[in-house]
Amino acid sequence: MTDLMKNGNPDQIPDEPANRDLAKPSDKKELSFDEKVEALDRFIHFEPLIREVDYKTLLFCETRRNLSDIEEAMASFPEFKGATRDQFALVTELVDHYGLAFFELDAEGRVVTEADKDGLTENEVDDLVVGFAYETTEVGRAVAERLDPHRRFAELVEAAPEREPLYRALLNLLRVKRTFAEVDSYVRGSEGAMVLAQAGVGGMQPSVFVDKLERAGVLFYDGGWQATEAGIEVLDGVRAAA
Amino acid sequence: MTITKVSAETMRTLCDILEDRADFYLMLAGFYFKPLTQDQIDALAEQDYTAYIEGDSLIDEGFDDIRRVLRKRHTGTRRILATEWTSTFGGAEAYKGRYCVPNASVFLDKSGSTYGWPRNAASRIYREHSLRLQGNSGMPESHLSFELEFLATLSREAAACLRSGDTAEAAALLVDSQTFIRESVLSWFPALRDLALRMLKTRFYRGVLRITEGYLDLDLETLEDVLAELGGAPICPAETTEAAA
Repeated sequence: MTDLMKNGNPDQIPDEPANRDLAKPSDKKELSFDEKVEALDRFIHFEPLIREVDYKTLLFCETRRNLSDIEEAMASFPEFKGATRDQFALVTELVDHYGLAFFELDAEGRVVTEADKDGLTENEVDDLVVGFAYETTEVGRAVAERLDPHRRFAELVEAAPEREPLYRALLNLLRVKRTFAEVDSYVRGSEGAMVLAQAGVGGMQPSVFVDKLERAGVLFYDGGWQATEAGIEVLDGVRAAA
Repeated sequence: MTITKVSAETMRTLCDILEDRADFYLMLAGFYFKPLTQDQIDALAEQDYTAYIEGDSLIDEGFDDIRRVLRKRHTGTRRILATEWTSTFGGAEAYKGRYCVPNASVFLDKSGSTYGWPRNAASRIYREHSLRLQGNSGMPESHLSFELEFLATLSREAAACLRSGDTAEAAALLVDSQTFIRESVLSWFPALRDLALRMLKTRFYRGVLRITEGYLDLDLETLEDVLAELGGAPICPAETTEAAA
């Protein structure tokens, strides 16, 4: 769905993303939409420490946002504490991997196009562009849909339905922050073992369950393991309003 | 012939000029020594650059470059500037086989070595003024940051000499400064500037180069003016006491 259709105004010309003048390999071919989705999905999954930060940023930027607002929002994500680079680097990576569109803005908040810069000196261009904004692309929206924790948890359960009771038991345990030692004890202890026996599984390390739930976006680590907001929603069978 | 005394007010003005010179050279030295910290970037962003916006000197243009970069700073600014510094002045990258480490030896010694004859020359000059690098400096004496710091040191020493009434020594230090600027800094700084401009991607360090070049040229004029004020004029002993207080 293009911006034109979404806005319902076929006369409205979509804002042109700014030319980042990035050095790109001359032989780099233009990817199809699906290839871009796969590329962005692969990139986001490549580094677990920034996966959830990237996902939440794609959600946050579904409405065009100023850079400073994005930086502030990202800093508030619990997962950002484990990020290995600054917010601007992460946002730029999402632009480079087709997830976000980048816009330069003038003093009135209007998008500055390359045509607007024609004939201007370096200083005049610098005075014209006073801010930066980003908006999630259709590629970004498609990947964000894949990364919805509800969907990821459902896929986790679908892959191994017998584990669902223990997944839910762990999420319930982690409504409050706990150490891994507490998680380990629970899984190996009588209550956890009973859940395992009921589920018909055994022999898996507790860390595997924690890892799978973290990758599904329903657990996070911040000095201890804890269910995310989405994890609580999954547990309670509710879903936050979009 | 009428002998003109240097007034106490003039002496104070000259001392202020020399102290300001020292501060400015130390600021410049810091730009080339290592990447800026976030605190340094924030402090620079808080400075008032109004005086430089309309001017057209190299110094004005340089500070305007810095102002324009810092007014749009964001969470990635420190990293971008650090990368820029490391790539160019840190020697992490080369341009057609040439490295842009701000070291006179790299630019003047035919072999391009770090500890060539320019380093020995700088070391000798420092020794003549009873100065040497601290043991853990990690860089040679001919590095631009140390050469600029040397000029700052001479300037403070000259101010101290003026306050104590020793105009002859102060003048000698300032003449040495002129010679050092011409022979030990400006002999290679244009080559550094030309190579750096081929490598730098942001305006910030382009501005630093402009400020440095502009200030070195201006300082030669400033030193001429200060030496003219000091030239052959004795100081009134009472005013010496006042100036030294």
